[in-house]
Amino acid sequence: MTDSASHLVALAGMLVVLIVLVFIALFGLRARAIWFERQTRRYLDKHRDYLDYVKSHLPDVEQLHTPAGKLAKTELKVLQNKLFEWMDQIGGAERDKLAQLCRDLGLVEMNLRRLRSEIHGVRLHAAYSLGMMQAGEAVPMLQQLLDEERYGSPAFVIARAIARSAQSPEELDRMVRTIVGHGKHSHRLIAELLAFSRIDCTPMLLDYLREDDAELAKVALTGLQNRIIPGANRLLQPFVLANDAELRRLAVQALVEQGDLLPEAQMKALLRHADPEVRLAVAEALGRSGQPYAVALLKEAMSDEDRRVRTASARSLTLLEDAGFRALCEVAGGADETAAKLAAATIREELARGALYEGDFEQAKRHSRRLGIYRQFAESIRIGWNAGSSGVPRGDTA
Amino acid sequence: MSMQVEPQQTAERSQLLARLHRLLLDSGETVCGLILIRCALDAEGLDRLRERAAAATNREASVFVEPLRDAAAILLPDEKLSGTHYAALAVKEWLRDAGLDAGPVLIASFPECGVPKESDLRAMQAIVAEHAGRDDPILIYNQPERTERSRTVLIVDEDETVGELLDSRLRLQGFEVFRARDGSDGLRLFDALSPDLVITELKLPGVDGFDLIRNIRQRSREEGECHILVLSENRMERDISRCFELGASDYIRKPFSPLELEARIRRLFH
Amino acid sequence: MRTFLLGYAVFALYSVLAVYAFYAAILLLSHKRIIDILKSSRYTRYRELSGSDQVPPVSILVPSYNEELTIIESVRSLLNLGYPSYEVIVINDGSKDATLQVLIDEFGLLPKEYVPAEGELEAMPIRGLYHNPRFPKLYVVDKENGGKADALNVGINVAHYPLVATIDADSLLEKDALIRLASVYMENPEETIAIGGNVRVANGCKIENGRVTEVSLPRKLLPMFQNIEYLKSFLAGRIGWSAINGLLIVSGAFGLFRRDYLIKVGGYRDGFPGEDMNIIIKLHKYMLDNGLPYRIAYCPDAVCWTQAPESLRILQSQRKRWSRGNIKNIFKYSSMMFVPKYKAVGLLSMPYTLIYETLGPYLRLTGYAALVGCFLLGTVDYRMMLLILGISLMAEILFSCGALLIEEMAFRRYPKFSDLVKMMFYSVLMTLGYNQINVYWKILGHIDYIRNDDSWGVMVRTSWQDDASGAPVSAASGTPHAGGRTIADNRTI
Repeated sequence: MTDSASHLVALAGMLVVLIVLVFIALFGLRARAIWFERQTRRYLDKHRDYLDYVKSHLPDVEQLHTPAGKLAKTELKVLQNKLFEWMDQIGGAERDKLAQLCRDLGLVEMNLRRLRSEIHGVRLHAAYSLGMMQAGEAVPMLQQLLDEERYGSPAFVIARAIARSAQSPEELDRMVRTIVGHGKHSHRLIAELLAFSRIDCTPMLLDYLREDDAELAKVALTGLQNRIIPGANRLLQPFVLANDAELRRLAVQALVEQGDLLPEAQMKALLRHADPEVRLAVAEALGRSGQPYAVALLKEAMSDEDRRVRTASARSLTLLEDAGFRALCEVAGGADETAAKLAAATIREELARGALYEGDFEQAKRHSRRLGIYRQFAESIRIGWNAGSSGVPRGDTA
Repeated sequence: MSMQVEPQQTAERSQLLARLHRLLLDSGETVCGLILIRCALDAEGLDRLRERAAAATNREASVFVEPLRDAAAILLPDEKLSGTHYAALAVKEWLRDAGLDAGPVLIASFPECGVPKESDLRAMQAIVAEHAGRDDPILIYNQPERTERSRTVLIVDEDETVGELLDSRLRLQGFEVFRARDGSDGLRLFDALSPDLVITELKLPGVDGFDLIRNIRQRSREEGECHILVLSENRMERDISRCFELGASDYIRKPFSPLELEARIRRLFH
Repeated sequence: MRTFLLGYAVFALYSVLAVYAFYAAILLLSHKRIIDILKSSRYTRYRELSGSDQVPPVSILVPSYNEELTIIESVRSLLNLGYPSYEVIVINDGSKDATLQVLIDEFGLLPKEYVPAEGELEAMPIRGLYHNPRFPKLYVVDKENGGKADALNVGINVAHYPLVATIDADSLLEKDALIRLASVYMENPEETIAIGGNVRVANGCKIENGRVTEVSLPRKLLPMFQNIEYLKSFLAGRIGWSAINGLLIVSGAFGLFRRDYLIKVGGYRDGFPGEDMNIIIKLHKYMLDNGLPYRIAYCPDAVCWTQAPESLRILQSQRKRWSRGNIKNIFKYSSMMFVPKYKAVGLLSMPYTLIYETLGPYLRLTGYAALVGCFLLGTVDYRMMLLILGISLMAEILFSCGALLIEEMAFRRYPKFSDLVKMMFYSVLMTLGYNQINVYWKILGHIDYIRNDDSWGVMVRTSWQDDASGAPVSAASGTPHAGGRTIADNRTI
């Protein structure tokens, strides 16, 4: 019995020690945080006039002067936080001036040192800071970090830093390939990252389209959205038949976005493609394209077997001005029941929405034109304005 | 103000003005900065002040100090407003260390702030004499003609940094700046102030940006009365066009360029 | 007999400690990944994402029952999230009060035609769908009463977008909560099928315009205890499991799912009670059965604020319901336990939950009883008894403080020094009664489960509170005013 008692006493002792350690850690961390907050207030107060100078003359000066006197390490950290807060909000030449100010303050060197820290969190913060300052000299080290980093949010923090700081397309390319190499289909995030770079990625992305890699192609197509791709027809055709559904969709979207470059026959063929995602992409893209043949094709697509394609076609028709609206009315009075119902519902929604913009002259004109078109077809459309309401009183329209 | 003091002040001012004109003509870039402080210094003090200002500007061109009654004017040839401001930082710190910071520090630079006239100097002296703020920021002088149509701007954004960034700059342009943190506050302030310009974000707690724009348009029928500039993170085409449909005058995406923002504001008011 | 009792008490103690040690081991082994999750949230640029069109659109489902007092504020705050493209679908689960009417009046909703699609989830019929183009993001579905799980199924049917987020009607999302979840999703869109957010206690916080503007600790005792509990079980408790992909629950109050997989596992069918645990286990099972690579993540920096019950009665009913849900799900999917095919879920987290949540209360209860028995029989003197009791209490305190440590390292939402001291004090105080009451409630929940064995594959018309609690629902004030208000009402959850 005393045996177990001594065990228990030992156990109790261990627990007490652990609890005390945790308490100490808690108090220590909190004290440090409060101390840093106090320092922040103190230094921001000290430099209030200086920061005012920076804010007031940022667009005017060629170069900002650094504050007078030697700055303590914590002081630098506080200033860095404040400047980053501002750099978050602004872009362009002014942001560069702030970045240059950071550099003049010695923040780039400070963070390069911290990049070699043993603690992962410190390295991450340093990477983030170097990215904010667009420090080109840090890119090789950042790339090395990225190579060693496990896949996850920290990897993207580093990747973003590289995207911001890269001075050449090769550096960007290497970063993209590292991330893509993990095979996690994060092409949207990558495209988002590349948007931060100062370097024009278009040649690089076009090169990706010529490689045989589905992931790189997806990155390229996402990054090149709404842009003209030279030789798109030839380049993108193989992707339309790819195994990867997302790649197919992106390829079709890109093809349709090429506008005048795509013949009607090809568009028609795509609308009859086996994959509903492809048809959906075409339907959506046709709405944005404004092609003359779009209306006829979308009218046909409203009888598609896939509900999403039908809905997308209806929505796209609303974007195609009067011709599209007219086509909707025709479908609403047509033979196909499902299509007619959908068209009717869409028309109702559009007219309700149009009634909202009393103030805008253009909108009012458009609305009245649509009302006119609707009235032309009103007899053939069996829309009941009270359909759907189950006796529940309706609220005001606008 | 006794009768004996007036002529003395006028004389001092004329001397200062003459000096200023002289420096403007002599200086390489026809620019001269002016720092006006409220203090009573003897010759030695003035000397030290001059040294300090000279050290701050870090230029070969020498700095001149003109004593005035209860004040001193530091002239910095070849210094634009930004350089003057920076030098004023050092001056203010020096004053504080010497315990002489009873009044504000007022800066100007000519011809950035206009063509220097006697009335300007008089106004500047008045400002320095009136303000008793020890904790005032460094004041920047704006010629009365530029600010006679003092325009009001209302900034509506949950994020305080935006207002903080734009505040100094807009005040420099002659605006009176007010800030609101959410849509309902924004509307309330709009009703109270009738600002000439509203800069708003779209995502706001409570009444959102779109509703705010719609409500403002309803309350100010003509476009000319109040311009609405949307400054938002939102990059969706659909939302941008909706803003214009509702009556916004312009749309700037965040992150924004302060220079571009100012140019667009100027364009709105022409 | 005496030695047996003592031996049993010591055995119970060691078992409880072993369970704690087990979880601590999991935390230690995955500490790197955990620190990654915690630290990187600070440096990911959510601002740029929140305006980007690369971010996938989300359908937010808000199942509501009798929420007429707060639904407007909740919906308004949801319509104002920092997210580029989303819709809010409020599902009125046949409320007996004016929830639907209040929404229709406030937003000027008009009836809209609902076209059901093929392959939809089974649910109670929809009475109507409402929409106003002036608020393009908002849809309200009116349906026959069927319970929260049923309402969610209807929401999934109506949702237009490939991602679905579930949120409780009385919870308040932080502005960037959704974009944080979406960012985690975008890092691995093919494999991430569910992401859970963090739930925090809003009592005592200043709330304006449907947003928490000032964070403070709750002033009353019960919510304070729950605050520590949430930090313990939600923050600390889930982060370890998510690191090894063994997460069993994504909080019903706030989670993000892929719609296609929700439909594949049959939605929230027969998910009441414990629908949040049920859906996650089903997702794990589906993915593992089909050998698909996946992850179910937990994002502790995506925060949803909720009102914790302030009265013992309501808290009790909540805990009994949770306990019922737990035991029901564990039993239903017990076939997954200890099967290597089910990896971390089957081998680690389910057995852990079984021992800790299901058997744990009995171990403790009998352990205490044995100890008291020993004392009464004179086998042990008071020192031994205090020793054993002390050890069990200290283990709990250590755990709570460990959770506080995680909170301190990563979030520090309660910035004052006095806040920290208060939390530490209450962690200790909790062990002297509150934890024991919870054990008792868990057992009551089990008894309820055994008695009301009514949820096997049958769609039951229920409200969300089984016990007819006639507790008056009082709100601090009907209309929010500019000065903001602190909600201190008794919500029946």
